Amino acid sequence: MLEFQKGNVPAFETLMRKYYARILNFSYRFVGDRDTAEDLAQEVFIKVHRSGSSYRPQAKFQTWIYTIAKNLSLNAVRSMKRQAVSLDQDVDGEDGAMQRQLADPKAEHPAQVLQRQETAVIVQEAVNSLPENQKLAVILRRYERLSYEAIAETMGCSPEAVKSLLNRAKENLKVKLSHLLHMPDK
Amino acid sequence: MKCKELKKLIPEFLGGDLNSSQANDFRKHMKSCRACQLEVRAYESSWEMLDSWQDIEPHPDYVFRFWNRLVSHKPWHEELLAGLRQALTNRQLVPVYAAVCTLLIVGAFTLKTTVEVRNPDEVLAVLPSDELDMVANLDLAQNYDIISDLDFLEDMEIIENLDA
Repeated sequence: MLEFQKGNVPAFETLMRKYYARILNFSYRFVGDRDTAEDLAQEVFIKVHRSGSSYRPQAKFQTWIYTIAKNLSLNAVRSMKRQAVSLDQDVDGEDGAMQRQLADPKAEHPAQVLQRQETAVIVQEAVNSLPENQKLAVILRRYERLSYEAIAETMGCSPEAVKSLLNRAKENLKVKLSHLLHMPDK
Repeated sequence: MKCKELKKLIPEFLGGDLNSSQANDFRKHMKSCRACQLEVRAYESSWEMLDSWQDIEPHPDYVFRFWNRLVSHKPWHEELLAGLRQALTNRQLVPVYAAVCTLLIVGAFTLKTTVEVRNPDEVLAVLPSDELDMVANLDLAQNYDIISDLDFLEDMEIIENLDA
């Protein structure tokens, strides 16, 4: 980012290639829609690009960019109509997106693939049903692998508050996913 | 440690947030309690199950799309003007705009009437003559009480000096 501030445009692309997928997946898990997540990810980097001259390295770049993504995602969720994900619908609106979620379909038995897809839908529903703050903490901790301190900075709260949110989220997830816990191991 | 106590600490134990003494008590109880073992396993399994929701891949041309989008992205003031233009041309909002304009006109008129500064010559022209005299001789009016008792005051001096 500092290189970009000095006018090094390729440095920005390097930054983008490093963080784009993570920001995309963060937005996707938070808003629940792929197209919206793509738009949001692009908007995040437009903001980063436009803030180039005013950026100050007071916080880690990672924390800063996740904070931007969080704010844009929160705005998007509050303004769009949420559509509940059900087992009867595709995980995503596009036919191609389902395949992208699979690690390697050719290496797995079709029954296992189907089971994984169903589990993914149920997990997505469970995470989406969490209160906003708990959902945010789960996505940042479980999927983005941020530390408690980084999550706290992104969410604007203390690390203890983050731990408390995650503990409550784990209780809620255990309840919502308990009916899947008796499924046979793969 | 009892089961009820342990169940409250499961998330913290799994997060590594218990102190060593609490963690030891926790493990000690777990060794002998099948129910708590299953409960802890349920927490662990539900947390691990989140892995089934896998990442998506970005669009292959996301960098190219970004640069195109950046070029066409309007500065904030242009977006604001575009938003205002859209709002003002929205037919459904015409009654609202009419109501606001009416309120503004009535309010401006009321304010003008209340704080209007009148021309002094116009004010003087409509005053009755006795009020006009009073205004012209304001100092005398302020001391009217003294003036009206002036004869008595003169006599008072004579009365006081009478003994002398």
